Amino acid sequence: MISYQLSPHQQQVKDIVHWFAENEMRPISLEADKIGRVPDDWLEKVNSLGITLSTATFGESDHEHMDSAASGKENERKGERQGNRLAVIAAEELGWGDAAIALTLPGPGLGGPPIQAIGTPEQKRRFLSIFNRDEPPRWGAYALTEPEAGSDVAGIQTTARKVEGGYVLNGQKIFITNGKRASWVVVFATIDRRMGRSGHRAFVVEKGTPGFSCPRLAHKMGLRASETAELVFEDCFVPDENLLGGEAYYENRQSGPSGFRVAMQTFDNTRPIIAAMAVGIARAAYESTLDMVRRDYPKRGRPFQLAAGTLANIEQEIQSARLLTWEAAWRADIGRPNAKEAAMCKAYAGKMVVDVCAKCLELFGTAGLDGQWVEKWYRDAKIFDIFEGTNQIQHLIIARHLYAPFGVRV
Amino acid sequence: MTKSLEDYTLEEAGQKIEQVLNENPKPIEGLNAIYQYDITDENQSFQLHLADGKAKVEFGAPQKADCILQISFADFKKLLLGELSGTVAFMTGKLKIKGDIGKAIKMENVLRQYNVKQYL
Repeated sequence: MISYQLSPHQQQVKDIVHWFAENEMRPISLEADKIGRVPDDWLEKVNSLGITLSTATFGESDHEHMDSAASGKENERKGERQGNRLAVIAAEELGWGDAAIALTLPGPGLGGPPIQAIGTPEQKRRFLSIFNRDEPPRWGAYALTEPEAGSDVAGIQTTARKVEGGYVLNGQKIFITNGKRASWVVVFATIDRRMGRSGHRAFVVEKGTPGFSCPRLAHKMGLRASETAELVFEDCFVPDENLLGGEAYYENRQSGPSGFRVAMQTFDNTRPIIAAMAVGIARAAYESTLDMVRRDYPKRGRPFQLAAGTLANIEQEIQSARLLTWEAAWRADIGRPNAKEAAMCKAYAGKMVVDVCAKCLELFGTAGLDGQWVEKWYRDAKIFDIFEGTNQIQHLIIARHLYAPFGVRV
Repeated sequence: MTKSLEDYTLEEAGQKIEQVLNENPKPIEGLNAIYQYDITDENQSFQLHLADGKAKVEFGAPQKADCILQISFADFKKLLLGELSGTVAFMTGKLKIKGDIGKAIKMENVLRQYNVKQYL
């Protein structure tokens, strides 16, 4: 069985990330939401401290991490891996601080996992070594969603045409976190739309590549400080060296849905992190509401009982989501498949955070709508049951994993 | 250049730190705190007293520290040489912090402003 007690190291990580969330993130949270971006000087300061949003931070040092990933022996390294559990513990605290700022922390972001998973040693070196506290802050990004293909990933329309020395990309991507500021973007495209999933390829497109542009940033309901970009590729030439994994990777797996699998594997790593951030937002709203109820509610009678009952229910919901998230991270750490658990925790936490923030707003009453943190968290919460796969998609994934052993194809 | 940092004893390293900080006190100006380093594998401690832009190193734990950092001697040297970042050391469990986390983060920033190698 697993233990519910944090190890001394896990507790330390939780404490220090919480300190960072409380003393560095919260003070700029409302202002960043208002101006719709995270201040540059703040990002530079944080970068110089070596704080990045990357699961690699939580493993061995970056160098060792890259070496071990390259030799494919990550699971066999001495001692127990706990990078995924540390990542979700840290992500909950970051979500508690400010989820939009958390998503803006420098580092490879969502683009990291696909490069770690299938990048050639040379690609890992080239793309992952640029994140350095002695240099300006940098970002990576992950571009999958298109106007005609969000949940239906198999339907991506962006094309990659083979030419001498590389590929020419044409198409459009939307809702790409950090897409404009990123030094490189992992872009999914198809070499032949008729091939479906097996025609998918992942490319690393570097900032400044001719034909690659960002015409627009989205204005959103929540997570306003986080940059959400629209990207356009017009006859954008990408050299062979930037085909993620190299030609060999795709040739060896002619039978399998390779590029698609790369895209999906990323989510098994990142969904628990997103779920943990949702837990963090919910906890923030809960703590703030609990304070207010203690301060402002009458201490007896029907209203007090109702408020206390609601708060108890909220706490129960938060704890359920947290435990599902920990389970998904734990399975990844011990090297077991976690696609089903990652989908479950993301679906549960995504819905939970929306419900919890709505209940907290109710307890605040109309006062909660005017300049209160809870109002911001309510706006920030909604995206959590949409991005990284909508809840409908999560349930499809769960159903596939549940019924596949019985020969039922969903 | 006589001896590299790798060969230093803890006493020598402590004295060197005191000397370097006092020769160039700008980064420690305005920082008033007592840091305690517990060198885990040597079973020794020393304290770094920072006050009024001056640094003083004392061995053992004569006063109550604001912040205690626990690390092996080898990793401590790497930290001084800038080969290991405090953040990575912390996240990988090589460095443990007790007490005022804010002060620990400030120290990380201070250390970065010294190019230790030029003093060796």
